[in-house]
Amino acid sequence: MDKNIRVVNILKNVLGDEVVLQPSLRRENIAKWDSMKHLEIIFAIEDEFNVTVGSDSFLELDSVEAIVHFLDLKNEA
Amino acid sequence: MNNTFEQFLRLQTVLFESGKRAEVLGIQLERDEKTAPKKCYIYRNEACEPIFTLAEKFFERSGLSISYEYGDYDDSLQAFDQKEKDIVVIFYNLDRVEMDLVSFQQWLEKRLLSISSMSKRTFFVYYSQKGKGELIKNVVSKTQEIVCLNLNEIFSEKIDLFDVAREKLTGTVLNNRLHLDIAKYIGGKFLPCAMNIQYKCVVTDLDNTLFGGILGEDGIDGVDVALMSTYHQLLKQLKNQGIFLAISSKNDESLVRDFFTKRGHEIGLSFDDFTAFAIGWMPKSKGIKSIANQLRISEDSLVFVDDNHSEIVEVLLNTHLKNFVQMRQNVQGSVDALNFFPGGLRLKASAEDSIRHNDLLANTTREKLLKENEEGYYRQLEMIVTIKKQNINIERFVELSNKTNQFNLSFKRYSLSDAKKMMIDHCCHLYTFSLKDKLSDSGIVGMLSVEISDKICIVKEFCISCRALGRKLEDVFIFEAIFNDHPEVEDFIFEYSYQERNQPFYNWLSRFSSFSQKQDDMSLIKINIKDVQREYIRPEIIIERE
Repeated sequence: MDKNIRVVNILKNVLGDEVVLQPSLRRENIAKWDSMKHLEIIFAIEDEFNVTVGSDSFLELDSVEAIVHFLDLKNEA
Repeated sequence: MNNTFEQFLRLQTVLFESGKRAEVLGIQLERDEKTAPKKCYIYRNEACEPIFTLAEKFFERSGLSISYEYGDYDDSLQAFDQKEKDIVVIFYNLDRVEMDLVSFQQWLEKRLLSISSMSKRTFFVYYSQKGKGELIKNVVSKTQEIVCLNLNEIFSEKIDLFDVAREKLTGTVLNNRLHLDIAKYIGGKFLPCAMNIQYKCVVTDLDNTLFGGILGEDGIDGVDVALMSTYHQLLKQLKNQGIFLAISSKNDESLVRDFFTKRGHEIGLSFDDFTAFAIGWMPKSKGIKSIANQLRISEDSLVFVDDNHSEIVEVLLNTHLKNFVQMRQNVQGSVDALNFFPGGLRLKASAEDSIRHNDLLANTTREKLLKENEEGYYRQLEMIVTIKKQNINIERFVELSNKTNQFNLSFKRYSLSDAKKMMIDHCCHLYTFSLKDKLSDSGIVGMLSVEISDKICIVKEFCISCRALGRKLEDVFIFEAIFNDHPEVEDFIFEYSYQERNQPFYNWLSRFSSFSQKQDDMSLIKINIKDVQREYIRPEIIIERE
């Protein structure tokens, strides 16, 4: 499955169905994406893609784009 | 039903087979709008929301939903609000408190007792990187009303319970890779246990469930028992905790008996380990009804384990059974689905648990006696009722209040601390009733809580175990106790609450005074002593008092 879709699905599962998700969405536009949900998103990303998000990237993964970019870099490494 | 059925099957897959956090969070079960979510207040000194959000999904397999309210981070466990809640959870990193050991033990004991005295149910989850969990064992053992879970004990073999490097980011020292496992224990075992959610029996199919293969086709020596060894261990463990085992199987009974005779030792279970049976060619739903009837429990307190999709659907469509586990090719996942089914954890088996099995087996003989000679039945049983007042077995008193559904006056569901308070309150009179007959010793089968005021007996709670029903003892228990100890009583007032499951209680009480059942409300039902005298049934029994 496309990485974008997998990430969007994770956000949907964590944030709930009522949030309209698009690949361009960002944390600042979704009130429900608070610090606790952010934790859950990071944990779910780690779980799904078997990666570890370091402290330097933890807060930066605040959009679908940023998450996919981070995963691409991990793949290359 | 189909929607719920598919959702529960998917829940089993996601929770016990795929195990991905996002998938677990994505499951939204249809909620029963009529039943309010259980309110859970969480004290904590570290972030635990990501764990409890997952635990909720395990808990929801009980058919109940839960809502959380989180307190601020508080090492001192001081902040406490008086809002009504179904349960208080304390989620606590012991290492965050800097005190010498003795002071810490004394302080913790005081705080736990104080919190548990202010809430009906309390659940304490704790962990430590410094081995402090071991050091507070004596404290935990003193707080018997609190259900305790030491995460270090559960995950002793996992070296990565902690991930301190990310503590500042995640708000907890617990490793997020273990969140799902921790949630499994909390939502599937300890939280339901603390909330007194209990199923009473596991009904297992045989073919491709208790063993691999089909007994009628592969033969006794041909079925694969090793394949299901973890299932056998779990069944044995559940039985040892006091949960009934029953068999529902489309097979010839003689063949099944031969299987247990020849190969029972290989699976560690004998035919006698099972208390109820529905072996034959009837529909499974009929078998489930028969098993519930044999055990005198309701169909929704059974958990049904079967490999066959259509058999499960047939049972769900034609009975009140709601709890099931599908035995699948992924045996370990299926066994986990049963192991973590809410309601299977008993922290201590009571003395009554060991009595129950034999007492129910004796019921078959009792029914035979009743059929043969209805008139002389009660005399033949040679029943002895022991009425005990005040200095009672308080644990059993509480257990009966919490476990009984069919003959239950008001569902007050007393906690141990409620009962202890009542014991020292001179207005309250507490009773237990024991029963034995020539066939078995049933142990303590009834409890009663009353207040006497100005020739009026206010009945706060009155419960009788379903094992003792059908022996015409209901009148004897309450009226023999009250007439003997309080001959001045002229009226009884029953604090009656209607629930779908206590129809037997309504049937009994309405003999004395006709009244209508009102859902969700407590009604005060007044009965004059003349009504009692007119209707009183007292079979031939011996009454002893202590």
